[in-house]
Order: sequence, then structure tokens, then C-alpha cells
Amino acid sequence: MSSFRKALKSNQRNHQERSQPGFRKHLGFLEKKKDYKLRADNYHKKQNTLTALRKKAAEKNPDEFYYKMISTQLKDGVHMKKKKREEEVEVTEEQRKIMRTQDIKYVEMKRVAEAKKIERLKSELHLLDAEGKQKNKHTFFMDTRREVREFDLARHLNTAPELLDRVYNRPTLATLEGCSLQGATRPSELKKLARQRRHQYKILSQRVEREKRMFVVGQKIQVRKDLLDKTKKLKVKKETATTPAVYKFEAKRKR
Amino acid sequence: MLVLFETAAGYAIFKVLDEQKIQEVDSLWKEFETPEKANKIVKLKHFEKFQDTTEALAAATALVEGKIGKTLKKVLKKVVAKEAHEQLAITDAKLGGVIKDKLNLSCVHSPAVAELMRGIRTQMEGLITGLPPREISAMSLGLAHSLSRYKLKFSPDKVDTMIVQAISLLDDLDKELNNYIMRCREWYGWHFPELGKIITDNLAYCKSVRKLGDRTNVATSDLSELLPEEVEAEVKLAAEISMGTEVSEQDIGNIMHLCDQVIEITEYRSQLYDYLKNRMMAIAPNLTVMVGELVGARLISHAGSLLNLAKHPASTVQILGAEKALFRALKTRRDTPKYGLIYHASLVGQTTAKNKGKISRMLAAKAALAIRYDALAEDATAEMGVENRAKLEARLRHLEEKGIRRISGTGKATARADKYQHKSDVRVYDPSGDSTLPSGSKKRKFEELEAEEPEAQPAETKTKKPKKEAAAAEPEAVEEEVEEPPKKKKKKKEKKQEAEPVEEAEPMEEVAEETTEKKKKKKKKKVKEEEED
Amino acid sequence: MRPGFSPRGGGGGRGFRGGGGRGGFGDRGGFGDRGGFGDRGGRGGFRGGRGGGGGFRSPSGEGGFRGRGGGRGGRGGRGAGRGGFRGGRKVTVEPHRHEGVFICRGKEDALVTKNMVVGESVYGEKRMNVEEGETKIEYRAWNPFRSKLAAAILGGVDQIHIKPGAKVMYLGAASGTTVSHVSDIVGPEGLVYAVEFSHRSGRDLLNVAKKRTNIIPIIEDARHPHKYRMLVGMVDVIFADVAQPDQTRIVALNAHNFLKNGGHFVISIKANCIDSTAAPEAVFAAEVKKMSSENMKPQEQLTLEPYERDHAVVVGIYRPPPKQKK
Repeated sequence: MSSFRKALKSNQRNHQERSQPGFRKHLGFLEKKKDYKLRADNYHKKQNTLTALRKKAAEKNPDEFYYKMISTQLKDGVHMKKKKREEEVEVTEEQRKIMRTQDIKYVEMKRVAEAKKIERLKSELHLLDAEGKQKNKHTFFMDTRREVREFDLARHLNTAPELLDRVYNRPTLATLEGCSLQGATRPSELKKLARQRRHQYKILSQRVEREKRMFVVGQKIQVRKDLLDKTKKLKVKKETATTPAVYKFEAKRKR
Repeated sequence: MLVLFETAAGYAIFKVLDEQKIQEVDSLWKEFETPEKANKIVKLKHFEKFQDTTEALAAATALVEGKIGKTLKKVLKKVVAKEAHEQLAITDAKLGGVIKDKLNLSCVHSPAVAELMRGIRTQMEGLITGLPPREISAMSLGLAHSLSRYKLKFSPDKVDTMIVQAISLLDDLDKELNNYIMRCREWYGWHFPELGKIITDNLAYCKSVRKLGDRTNVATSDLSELLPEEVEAEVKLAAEISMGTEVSEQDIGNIMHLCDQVIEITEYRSQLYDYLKNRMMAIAPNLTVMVGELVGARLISHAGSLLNLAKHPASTVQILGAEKALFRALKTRRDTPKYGLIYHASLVGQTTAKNKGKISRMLAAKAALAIRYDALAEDATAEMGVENRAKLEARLRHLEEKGIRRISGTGKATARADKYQHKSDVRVYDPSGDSTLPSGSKKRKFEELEAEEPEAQPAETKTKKPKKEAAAAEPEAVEEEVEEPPKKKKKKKEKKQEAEPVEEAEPMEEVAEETTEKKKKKKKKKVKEEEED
Repeated sequence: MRPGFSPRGGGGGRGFRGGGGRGGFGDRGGFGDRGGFGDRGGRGGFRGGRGGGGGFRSPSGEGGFRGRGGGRGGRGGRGAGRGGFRGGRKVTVEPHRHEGVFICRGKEDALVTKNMVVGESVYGEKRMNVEEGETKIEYRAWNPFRSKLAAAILGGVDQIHIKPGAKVMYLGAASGTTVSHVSDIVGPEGLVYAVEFSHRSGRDLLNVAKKRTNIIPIIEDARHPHKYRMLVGMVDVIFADVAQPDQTRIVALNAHNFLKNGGHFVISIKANCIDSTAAPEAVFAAEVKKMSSENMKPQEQLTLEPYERDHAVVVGIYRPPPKQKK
């Protein structure tokens, strides 16, 4: 009976496969059909892929064209996006990220916040010692040509010649002799204060940069919004990293 | 020659001692280098001091306008009395003209005179003896301030600091009052806890406590003017069975002092509120009319001053007071709040929740205009506010009726209400649209019409007359009329059938006739309707 | 250790003025309308304070007061603030060439004046406190981006002639922001006659004048000086910031009436306001010529970069005393 046969099998020993005999152990693992099958399938699969590829290469159309070819290039056998030259970058990565995730209201809010902070900083950082600031023009009017020829700035200003470069404050000799610094005067303190000042200027310049970037992003978002309008338009200026594209809309009376 | 020199302290009349030197304009400045030299050229003849600041202000305003003030007239009359033949040197040519007209004094103004004036001004303190320089500068400061205030039409009732202070004080008082009342309740509740539960109104509670003192006095005292009768009865009842403890006279005395304070503060608060209302009406009448005194005062105090508030755009006025929510929403890219302090305005309060947003936006827009008018305009009437409020209320009504009329945009898209169809109307097929034949030139149609009109009218009048007679008397008339239109229609149909075989000219006539028929029908219908009414 | 700044900080280089070697900061360029300095006005970019440069320069900078010792008798331990006791350590206050003005360097880098009304800001400006022994002195920052006079001072003008005790006539006082600083400089002994025609600004000016008794507010048109002759004595300096096309004539009228012989004038000229089509230099030259014809002798002229664009300040003397030939 079937159940009897199955019951008998309960105390049957688990039959094991025969492995590589002892004297042939140096030849490695004894492959059975199932192992062979795996290996063979793998090999054949690869071979099939290769033949298919060879066929494809053989029957390749020399005039094939895909639009992606314009913006990609094969580099070391890998297709990579062609890198535009630096000046031609229209939308930088940062701008792209912001435009995709943020709202124009948020960008505007951030820009205004930065602008206010800049105003506040500018009220106390007056660019006294800043390098690279625009030099102004200082003209003195003289009565005679002789005076013009013999003009000596240090003498005219009544100050020490070494201080002539220090445009923001060129104290007269009398002030130099008579008056003194107040507050922190030791070199260590001065060093520390100078470091703090530099840091503040750095913050100010960063804020200025950020405000500019926010402004540009805000403008670009606004232009994209305006483009959703259905009226006819034509592009007047290309978009660059720092300016949005300029479009001219058809003059249409609105209701 | 005499010289008229105006200072902040008064008018000075100088006499020129050395006329020749005056003519040498270029070297005149040398003569005024020191006070002694100056005294040799001119001498102070008369100095008319201003009595007080009002006089000085009047003189200064007259000077600015180029007129002769009272003091100046007085001074010049004195001069005229003494030396009428002398010429008067003055700085303002226009004033000179006026003086010549009014007082017949010949005036002179020339570059020499200008130099002379310069010299005198340089040596002012030396020439005008008896007037220390400090005094002159103090007087000129005072005069400048009063003159500027006069120019700017500075009026003390248009100062909005009062509003800001008053509203802050109101809030403070409320807080304090709340504290005191809570304290009073708690304190007295130790002695008579039930009273707190019975009398909910704070002022009545304090007044009752003040009157009662110890709860044993309830039976004897009369609380009828403070409380309604049932409440008083309850109080009397509760006093019998109260579970509070006894307290000493001193303690009761203290509690009564506290109640005194509360009552006083409440009175003061209501007084302050009246004051605030008055000030608001004086300072910003349009805003008050639109949003109410309290909301208006809060807006002004939030912005800092009325001028500051006027600088805000309407969208800011709408959400003033909800800054926290606004920035939170902006940062997390959610919807921004729809109303701030404006929410408490009566116009917003009386709408349904759905329309509060719309109303708050409209109210903010009109309120911003009202604020700017109040802050910057010269006059102080409330008519603009009243107008705006009326407009807003009208719009509100429309909103409530689910907006039949579109509010913004061109407003031309009015909904066409369907014509009312009477139930007893017999609706018949109108074949006027059947004909696709061209109607031809309009002129002819018009002529036809005109031709038809006189025909139609007599016909109509004829029909009218019998109608009227009928209607006056019996209901049969109605039946008659009902018959008539069908008759008319039949007639038209016949006419039509006649017309069709005929071409061109006839259809025009028919159209004309049909239109007249229609007119007649319409008129008839109208008449019928009127009669039915 | 120079704080790094991308050389392209100035932006697209539009309007680059051609003067090379500026590392791209100085150009007014920027993105179209936007200049380099956080303003749509095209100011150049900048790099942070060289001041100290890590502190190594400070001996010749601030310490120049000390280091230059040598021939001038040493900067020496003269005056208070030296030798021993510590002042307010957070800032260094150095006296300026012009009396009454100071430079405050700490975390901030500001031109300041001594506050006459301690504890109050006139227009929300920053105040700095410095302790000198027992005395506490308060200074108020003077924003050169808002005030032409401050921009001129920081631009290195030789003389402003506004000193403690002077009598100044200020034409074009606006809301009184710069007037308050002038009032700080001239002190309680001096006087400032502030003339402003606009009523809105006049109200603010009046509020400023309430607190400071050396300001005399005059709400009149500066074109008619005879209208306020009653309030004004002779002044030592006229400062004009009126921004009108006929401003030279206005100043001349006021000078003929109120400026003493040998008195000075300081005029701020906005090229755009006088003639928006001409080149700024031409406009300034024309104005200078107009002044000379009115017996007003210009002595120096300077432009206000980097604080303002196409602005200039002209300082001169009125009716100069005749030169004695030696």
C-alpha cells in the first residue's frame, strides 16, 4: 500500500551523492550533471549574448541618428554627457536644485531677509581698510602753476608720509602727537579685533553674494512662470548663469 | 538812511552815520571787522523787542509771507513820525514795496544794502547792545521751533503716540484687573465660596462684596441695585448654608479695600476706553469707521505709528499680527494665514467662515486706502471711510447670496436671470425663427416698420379699448384676451401661408408685421400681467 | 592668510572699467543692474579688512601712532587711555583728522561721532560704548552709504571745516540723520541751522531738533534765504546736499546772505541730478566753474566711490581774504 511504502521510507537513510574518490582528490570537485548544467547555461548565455552583439554590430546602420547623440559622447566606451563650456552654462546646479524644490515666495523671502541683514551690516562695516575697493578721485585746486608743480600731498595735508595710503584717516601731525588711542591698544587685542573684523567682512560679502544669487533665481523662476502664459512670445535674449532669458510677448489687450 | 534789521528778539532800526562809505560796496566789509568800526558806520536807533513768543511768531509769519505785521507797523509808524524823509533800507524788495504802499516810506534795496546787511549781521551782538548773544540764539531757537510747528500745521490732537500708549495701557489694565479679580474671588471665597459661583460677573461680584462685607450681613443688606432678583434670592439662601469660615473684621476690611481698587480700575478702564475712542475718531476717522476703534488702535500700535502703518501695503495690513504663522508657513511652503488683527473687525466677524478670507482681503485693501488718507491728507473727514464701508457691505451681501454678480474683473458678466414664466402662460411655438430667407436691407425694414407702426397702433388702440372695457367689468375679458392672441396667431399663420409663395418684398412686410404682432402680443401680455396683479 | 574670494566675485564683468589688475573686484559690473556691493547701484566688490592682516600690520596701522615715535617726540604715553588701566576692550577708538569725528574699530569698522544725547539712536544706528576710567563715552555710527559727508570724510577730504563750536548752515537737511551727526561734531557751543522744505521730512527733523538744542530747524525753501533771515546769524560753514539742478545758485544766495567772509562751503553734487545725459566729470567741472563766478573759490573736489556712484563733494572758501604779497 502507498502509505505503507511511505512509512517504510521514514527510517530510510538519506542517500548521498558520490563525491570525488580519495585517489582522485587532486583533481578537485567531482561535477555532476546539475553543476555542469549551471556552468553550461552560463557559458551559453554569454555566448548567445556575444553572437547577438556581433550580429548587431555587423548589421549596424552607419547613418543612424538619435537626438541624445547631440549632448552625449562616448568616453572610454561609456556614454557621458558632453560638458558645456563654462561660460555657456545656462542654469547652474545650485539654481536647478532651488528652482525644482523651492517656491518663488520662499526665495523672495530669503532674499529680502538677506538684504535687510546686509543693510544692518553695512551700517557698521564701512569698508575702511578693505582691499580692492574702488579708489575715488581727489582733486586739489591751486592758484598758480608753481604750486601745482611743487605740490606735496603729505605737506599739504600736514600729515606723516606713511599715512598717505590710509585714506580713511590721515591725522594731522598735531593730532598724532597730542591725541591717543582709546579702548583696546595692546597688539594681542588688536590682532584679535582685526580677526573678528575680517570675519565680519567675510560674512558681509557672503551675504551680498547670496542675495545676488537669490535674486537671479527668483527672476528665473518668475520668467518660467510667465512662460506658462499662452500668448505668443519670442525669445530676445538667451538665459545665462546670471540673467534670466528675456522674452517679448505679443501686445494683447487684457480684459 | 535808516536800516530795518529783523532779529529773533525783535526789530532793530539803525541809522547810517557815514553814507559815503556805504557806496563803496567792495570795501564795506572792512568797516565791519570789529564792533568799534561797525559802531562808526551805523548806530542803533531803536530796538523793538517782542513781548512774547506769540508776537515773535506773528512777526515771523508776516515776514515769511512778505507782509507787514502789527509790530512792524508799530515800529515803522514811530519812525515815520520822527523821520519821514529818510529812506529805509530793507532786505526784501517785496516787503519794501508793501511798506511804500501802506506807510509811504521810501524803501531801498541794492547790492550796497545787501553788503550793509551782511555787515550788520556779522556784528549783531556788538551793534545791538543790551542783548547778550546767548539770548539771541535761545530766542531764535524757540522762534524756529514755533515757526516750524506752525508751518507743519502741528496739531496736538493728531499725535498718534497717544493711541499707542492708550492701547498698551488698556492691555495692561486688563491683565492687572484680571489678576486682582481672581485674587479677590479666591480670597473672599475662603469666607463665602458660594458667592463666587452664583455671581459670574466680576464687577457685580466686587460690588456685592463691597456692600456685604461679612456674609452675616446678607439678610440685612439690599443688593437689588447690583443684582437681579433671583440671583439676590440665591445669594441670601447661600449665605445661610454657606460652608465658608469666619473671618475677622480686619481681613474683611482688607478684602473690601481690594474690591475698592477693582471697582476703581474698572471705572478707569471704561474711561480710558472712551478716551481711546475719542482719540481714534480724531486721529484716524476713516480707519475707525471701517474696522472699529479697538482694531484700528491695535493696528496703529502694532505698526508703531500711523505714518508707519500707512507705508505698509494692503497685503501686509491684512496679516499684521500673524507674523509668526506667516513666516512659519513661508518657511515650510504651506499656505500663508489669511487674516491677522483684521480678524477682529466687525465686518469679518459677521461673515461665514468660508467668506472670512475674502472679506478680510477686501477689507484690508480698503482699510489701507483709509489709513493713507488719514495719515497723509490735510483734512479730517470720515466720508471716504463711510463710502468704503458701504461698498464693502454691499459686496458682503452679494457674497452671501452666492455672488450673482462677479465682483472683480470687468463686472460686465452679469448673470441673466431667466424671465419669469407665469404658470398660466400658454407657450406656443414661435415660428419667427423658421424663415432663413435673408432679411434684406435694414432701411426698408425700418420703413416698413414705420409704415406698419401707424397701422398697428390704431389697430392696437382699438384692441386696447375693448380690452379695457372688458377688464373693468367682467372676468370674461380674460377669456376674450386669451382668445384674441390665438386668433391673432391664427391670423399670422394665415398671413404666413400667403406670404410663402410670394418672394422677396412680401417677407419683409411679413417680418415687419410679425414684429409688430409680437410687439402687440408683448404689450398685451404686459397688460394682462398688470391686470392679473 | 588672506580670506579667499573667488576673483569672479564682481560678477559678469559688465561695465568693467578697463583698469586691469584689480582682480575683478573694482569693476562696477555685475549682473546687469546689480553692482557688486549688495546694491543695485554697481559698487565694486571688496575683500575683507586688511586691517591687521593677521595683526602683523597693526604696528604700522593703528600702532602707527606709537611706532612712528621718532622725530615727533614719540607718540608716547600722553593723554589718558594709556599706561596701565584697561579701557573698553571690545573696540579701539582712534581720533580722526577732523575734530569731533572718530574711527571705531572692533568687530565693527565704523566712522563714529560722540553722542550728544546719550542712550538714544536717531535713526536706528548702532551705538558703541567705550569706558575711559570712570567715564563712559557713547559713540554713534555714521553710515557713509547714507550720508554724503561721511563718505567724503572716509574718502580722505582734507578739510570739512565743521569743528566743535562752529556755526553750520545745513541746506537739504532731510530727516535729520546727517544733521544729528553734524550736531554731535559742533557740540553744545556750536549751532546747526537745518533748512528743509519738505513737510514729511520736516516732521522728523523737528523731532530730532527737540532732543538736540543746537539744531535750529527751518522749514523753508532754501531758494529764498530772505524768508528765514530772522532766525539765522552769520555762519562759518555752509553744507549743501540739496540735489537740485540750480544748487550752486541756491548756495550762492545763502552765502551772500549768511556766510561770513572767509567762510567755507561744502557742496555735494549728484551728476545725475544736474544733467543726466552728460558725463559726470563734465558736470562736476561745470559746477566748479559756476562756483568760481560767484566769488566762491573751490579748493578741493573728491568723488565718493565706493559709497556712491557719480557723486562728488566740492570744498571751497567764500570771499577769500586778499593774499598779502610778502
